[in-house]
Amino acid sequence: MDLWIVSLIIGFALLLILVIGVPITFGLTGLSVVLLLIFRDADALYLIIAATLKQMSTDIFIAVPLFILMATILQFSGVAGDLYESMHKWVGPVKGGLASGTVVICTIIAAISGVAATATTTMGLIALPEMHKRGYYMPIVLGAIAGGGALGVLIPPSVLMIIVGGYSGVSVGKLFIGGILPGILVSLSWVIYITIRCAIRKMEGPALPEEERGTLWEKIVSLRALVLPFLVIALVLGEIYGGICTPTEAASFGVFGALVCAAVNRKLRWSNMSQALITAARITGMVMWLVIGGGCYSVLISSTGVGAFVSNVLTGLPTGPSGVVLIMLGVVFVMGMFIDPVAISMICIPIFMPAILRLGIDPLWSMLLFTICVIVGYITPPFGINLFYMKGVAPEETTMMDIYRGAVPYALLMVIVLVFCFKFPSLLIWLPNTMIK
Amino acid sequence: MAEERSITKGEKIERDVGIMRNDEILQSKIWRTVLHWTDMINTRVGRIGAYLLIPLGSIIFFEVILRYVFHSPTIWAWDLSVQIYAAILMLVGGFTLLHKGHVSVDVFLMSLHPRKRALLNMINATFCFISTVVLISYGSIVAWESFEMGERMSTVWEPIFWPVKMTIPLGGFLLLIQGVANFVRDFATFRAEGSK
Repeated sequence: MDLWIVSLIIGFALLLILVIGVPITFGLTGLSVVLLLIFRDADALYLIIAATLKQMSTDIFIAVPLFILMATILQFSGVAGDLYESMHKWVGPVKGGLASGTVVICTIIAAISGVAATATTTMGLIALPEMHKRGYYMPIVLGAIAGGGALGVLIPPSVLMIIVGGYSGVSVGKLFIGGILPGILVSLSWVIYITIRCAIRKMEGPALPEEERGTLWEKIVSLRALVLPFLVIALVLGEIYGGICTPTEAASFGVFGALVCAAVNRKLRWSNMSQALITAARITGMVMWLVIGGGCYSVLISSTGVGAFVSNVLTGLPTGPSGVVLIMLGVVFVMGMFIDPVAISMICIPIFMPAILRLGIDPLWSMLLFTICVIVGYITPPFGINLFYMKGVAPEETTMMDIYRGAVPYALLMVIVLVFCFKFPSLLIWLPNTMIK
Repeated sequence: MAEERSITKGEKIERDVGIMRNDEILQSKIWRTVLHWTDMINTRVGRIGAYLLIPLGSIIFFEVILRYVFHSPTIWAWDLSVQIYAAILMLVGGFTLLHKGHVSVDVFLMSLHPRKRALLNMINATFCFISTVVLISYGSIVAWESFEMGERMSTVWEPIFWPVKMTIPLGGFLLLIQGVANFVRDFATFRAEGSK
C-alpha cells in the first residue's frame, strides 16, 4: 500500500485517539495492534510482546522508579521548608526578592529531583501563601512556581531525559550534563525578569519590612539548609560526572540521600515512607506504561516503513537540516500545549530519529533541543500540567486565567533560551562532550 | 501527616478501595461484590509493587558499595534488579488504572454531559481491552515457550527467563480486570443518568 496513505491513516487515528480521550498508553498499544493486523498479519503481534519486553528490560529505565521515589521522599523530607526559611532571610529585603529566591530554590530542588511536580507542589504550599500574605502580585508568583517545577526535568537528574535517552539511543549521562547550562540560563533569565519587573512596578513585589529582616548571624546560621541538598547533589551528579556509576546506580544513591535528608529533619516515619512508596508506584505506572505503549507504537512506525518514509520526506525538504530541526521543534511546541511531555516523546522520537540520523544532525544536540521544547509544554497554556498542579495548591480565589497570565512570560523566556541554544549549539553540547568522553 | 497516623488500618484500606465508590447506582449485588474485589486486588497488588521498590533500591545501592568499597561485585545483583523492576512495572499497571492515573487528553471528555462522558469512556475502554487481550494471549505463548525451552538470560548468572516474561500476561490481566470494572461503573452511570 502507498506509504502516504499509511502515514495519513496512522496520523489521523492518533489524532482521533488523543481527542476522544483514550488513555494514551492503551491508545498507542491498541492502535498498533489493530494496524499491525491490517497492514501485516497476526504473527506481527509477537512484535508487541517483544516491544513490551524490551521496555521492561532496558537497563537505563530502572533509574526511573528510583528517581521518582527519590522525589516523593524529598517531598516530605522538609528540605524545601528549610531552604525557604534561609532564602527568606537573605533576599526578603530586596524588591521581588521572595519571588526570585523561589526560582533559585526551585533550581536547587530541580538538581535533586527528577520530576516536574516536586518543586511546584512543595513550593506552592510553602512559598505561595507567604508571598500572597505580603501582597506580591499573584501572576508573577504563580508563574515562577509553575515554571520552577519545569526546571526539575531540565536540570539533572531528570526522568524525562532518561526516557528520551533510553528511547532515542542518546547517552543519558550526556543528556543530563547537557541540561545543566540551559537550566541555569532559564533560571537566570527568570530572576532577571522578576527583578526588573518589580523594580519598575514597585507594588508587585514589596520588600520585607525592616523588623522582619534577620540579623547577619541569623542569615549565616540559616545557610545550613543548603548542606543537605548539596550533599545529595554531590552524591547523585558527582557519580555520574565522575563516570563512577551509571545513572541507575546514582539513582539508588539519590534515594539513600533523600532518606538521610528526611532522617536528619526527623520526618522519616513509616507512614510518610509508605505514602511515598505508593505515590512513587502510581507515578511509575503512569510513566512506564506510557513508555510501553510508546514501544509498541514505535514497532508500528518502523515495521510499516512509515518512519523511513517520513525521514525521506523530511530529508527531501529544501530547508536543510536546521530547517528540519525547526519544523520538529515547532510541532513539539504546539503538541506541548495539549499533550503530556512523556507522551510527546513517545509519539515523536520514533518519527524524528531516523530523519535526524539521515541528515547527519548531532543526535545529542537535537535531543537536548527536543527535551527543552517538550519541557516548555509543562507551563504553556491551555493544558500545561504544572499549571494544573499550581491550581491544586494555590489559594482558592486563584483562577486558571491568573495562572495562564503568570506562566506566559516564563514560557516565553524559556523559548528565548531555546532559540539561543539552537543558534549556538555549543551551549548544549560543549559541556557534556568535555565531561564525558 | 498527623491525621495520617490516626487512621486505623481497616479504615485505610477502606479509603484506598473506596476511591471510586459511586457503586450505589449499581443495582446488582453480584457486580458490586465483583467490583469491590477487583479494587481490593489491584490495591493490594499495587502495594506489593510499591514495596518492591525497597529491595530494588537496596540491591543496586549495596552492589555499588560492594564493588567500590569491598571490590567484590556479585554476579546476580544486576539480573535480580532487572527482574524486580519488570515485576514492579507489571504489578502497578492495574493499580494506576484504578486511580485513573494513566494519562489522557481529557479536555473534550470533561466538557461532555456525564451520560455522554460515560458512553465515550465505554468506547475508549475498547483500546484497553484490545491491548490487554494481546498482552495476555501472545504474552502467555511467549512465556510458555520460554518455560518449555528452559530459556536463560544471556548474562553471567544466567537466571531463568520465563518469570520475567510471565509478568507480561499477569500485568495484562490486572489491567483487564480493572478495565472491566471501570467499564461496568461507566455503564451504570450511563444507565442512571439516562433514567433521570
